[in-house]
Amino acid sequence: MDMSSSLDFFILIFNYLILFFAGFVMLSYIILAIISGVSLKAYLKKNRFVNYNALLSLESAPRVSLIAPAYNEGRTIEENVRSLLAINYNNYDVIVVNDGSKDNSIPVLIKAFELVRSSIKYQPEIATKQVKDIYISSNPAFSKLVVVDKHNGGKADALNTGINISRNPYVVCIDVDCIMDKDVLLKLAKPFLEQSDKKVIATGGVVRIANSCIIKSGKLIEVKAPGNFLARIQVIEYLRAFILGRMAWSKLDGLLIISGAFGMFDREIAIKSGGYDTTTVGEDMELIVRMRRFMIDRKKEYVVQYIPDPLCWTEAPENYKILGKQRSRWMRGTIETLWTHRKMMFNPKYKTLGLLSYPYWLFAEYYAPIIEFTGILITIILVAMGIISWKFFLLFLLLVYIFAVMFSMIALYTEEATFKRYETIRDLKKLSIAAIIEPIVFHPFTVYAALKGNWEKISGNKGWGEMTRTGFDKKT
Amino acid sequence: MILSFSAYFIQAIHPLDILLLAISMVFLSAVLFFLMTLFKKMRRLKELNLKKLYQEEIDEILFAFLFENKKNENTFSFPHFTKNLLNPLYKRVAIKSIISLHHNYSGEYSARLEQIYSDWGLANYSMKKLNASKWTFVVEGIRDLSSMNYVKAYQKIQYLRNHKNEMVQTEALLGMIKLKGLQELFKFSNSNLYLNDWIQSNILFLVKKYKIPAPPNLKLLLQSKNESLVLLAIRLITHYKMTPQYDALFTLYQKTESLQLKKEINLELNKLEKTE
Repeated sequence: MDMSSSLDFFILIFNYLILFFAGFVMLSYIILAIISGVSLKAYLKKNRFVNYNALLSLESAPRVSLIAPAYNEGRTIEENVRSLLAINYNNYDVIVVNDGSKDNSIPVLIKAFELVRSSIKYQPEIATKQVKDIYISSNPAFSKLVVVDKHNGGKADALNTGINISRNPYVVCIDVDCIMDKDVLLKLAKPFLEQSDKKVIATGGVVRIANSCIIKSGKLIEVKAPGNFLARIQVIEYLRAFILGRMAWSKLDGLLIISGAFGMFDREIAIKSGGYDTTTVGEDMELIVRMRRFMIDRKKEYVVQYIPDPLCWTEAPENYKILGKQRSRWMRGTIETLWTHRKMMFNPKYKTLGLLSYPYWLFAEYYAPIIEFTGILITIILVAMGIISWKFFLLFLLLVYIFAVMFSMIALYTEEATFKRYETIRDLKKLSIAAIIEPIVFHPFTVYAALKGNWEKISGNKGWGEMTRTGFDKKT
Repeated sequence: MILSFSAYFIQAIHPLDILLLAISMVFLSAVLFFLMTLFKKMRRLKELNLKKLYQEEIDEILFAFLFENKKNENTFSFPHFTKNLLNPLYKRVAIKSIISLHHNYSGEYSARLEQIYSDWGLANYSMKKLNASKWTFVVEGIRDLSSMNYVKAYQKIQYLRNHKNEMVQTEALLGMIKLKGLQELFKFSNSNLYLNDWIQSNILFLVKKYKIPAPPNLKLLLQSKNESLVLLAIRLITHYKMTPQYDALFTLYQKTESLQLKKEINLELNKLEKTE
């Protein structure tokens, strides 16, 4: 085979690979969207008649600990904790874990909630950094609150500390700065009451973007499309991921992640599985994969539930610097989890997880940005050399672009047909424009951040990166 | 003929044409989804405004009947009322308002609202829902009728316990309890009906919300072979604070092998000790 025919062969293979990959991603998105749509319709039909307040009548409703790790959240922590204490549920407590904050978080909490040192002994079942003090409130009004002050060990370590402190069978791990729906625990707890044949080991919910929403006293009053353009684009992104993605994976019993901002776990299984892995930055995904493997390896029947209602609202990054750090960290977390659990790849023992979810995450989440970048780079070279026509290249890019816009439009339609949280025509206009611009401006940046994440992983960067938040109080 | 035409078509078509066709189709789909979203949102906003208008009119009529002692025939003096009452949305808003008021009032007012529900033809409208092929309508119908104490619907609701849909079965059970009281539970003493914690919490909610009285022979349920029913009986006995029945709970605690029942008795008795 001479040089010229080798090059022709390479180009042919390359073209087919790129076409196959693009086709695979687009088709998988459509299939997942269809499954999600059908499941959402059935879920909403059934839940239309559910009276969640009924659960308040049951004294033996599942006992739950809300674990909120906090690091340098002094400016907003009081309001956030008040909001957690106002959640509509009988049997719960709130464990705030101060992870060695350098700011005034502890003095703020002591003053606001009349905290005193408690005699509770810390008996860890999962190894963590040293706990300095455990506080409880001297005011009976805050009897549900426990504050743990510990040396800095990262978010996973703080969550493990909370799991150790909890005496309840279920733990809900959240980000302290998230705004929770007042019925969040009622909705999370319901699946635990209904299942009898299989053990519910975890329940996850939908996270939405709270930027520009009206929030008063830690409660979401009105949902609005964010004023900040970057945050607005992330609304579209979250709608696609949670409404059209995770719902389908849940239906297929292949959910590999429960958002770190908000998830409920069976405490016993979480401890037996070893708790959160403190060596990864993708601890949320890693824990759920490990818990599932734990159950499958022991041949125990289990289920991971997904609640599609928007129950948790978080603040999205409003500038590229912070967004870049967040996204490269997510990529590192994905790489670490996929590597740790590589045994699952195409392993029939893990059924949907091993045969579908894991390979999908590997190709569509981990490899996708690499393939996308390499593909475009090589194509540009081939086009410049005159081997591939410019016309074909540009039309292909146009197809990918329009597909991305169409998929966002499907997400907006599904939101309007289901939860209807964006009320006005103005919001729809804002979000539609964001959907049109997103593939040109935002997507290339996420590809860049993912590649950076790969590089950071190779070069040994293990940091989290600071996530500076504006805080909701400014926006009320 | 068809095969040769297809072969000709495939040869004649250029890859760029396929790409253009795909782009056009995807573009049209994107526009279609946008328009569908816009249409849905506009329709929803219109319906919300309409509901608000209906709500105002219905509130005015209901308050006139309840507090100004107007007679039923006078409804027809309200503009558009007769015409509006043919509209399903208007009926739904009216039923919701009547049920909401019914929750808040008792005695004479409550009876008057029940009368209005019947006189305005809303009870018949709800009864028709019980025959619907869509289970969601059936559940809606049971809920409306039982909320309004429409005892005439009892037979039909009882029959719906055998419906193929689980949500309807549960709603029918709740409806039976709402209409005839907790005595209804005895019908399931020897059945294998499984009342999971979610259904039990709904029954307890009903009991608390509507202040449904305890049946005199409640402790007999403790002898049922249906464990989930026994569990519910324990919860009900402690809810009603039926002190004379506590001995029966102690006896059951000693006799039963079920860990769940033991745990529940323990929990409930501890709670009672604390409150006393």
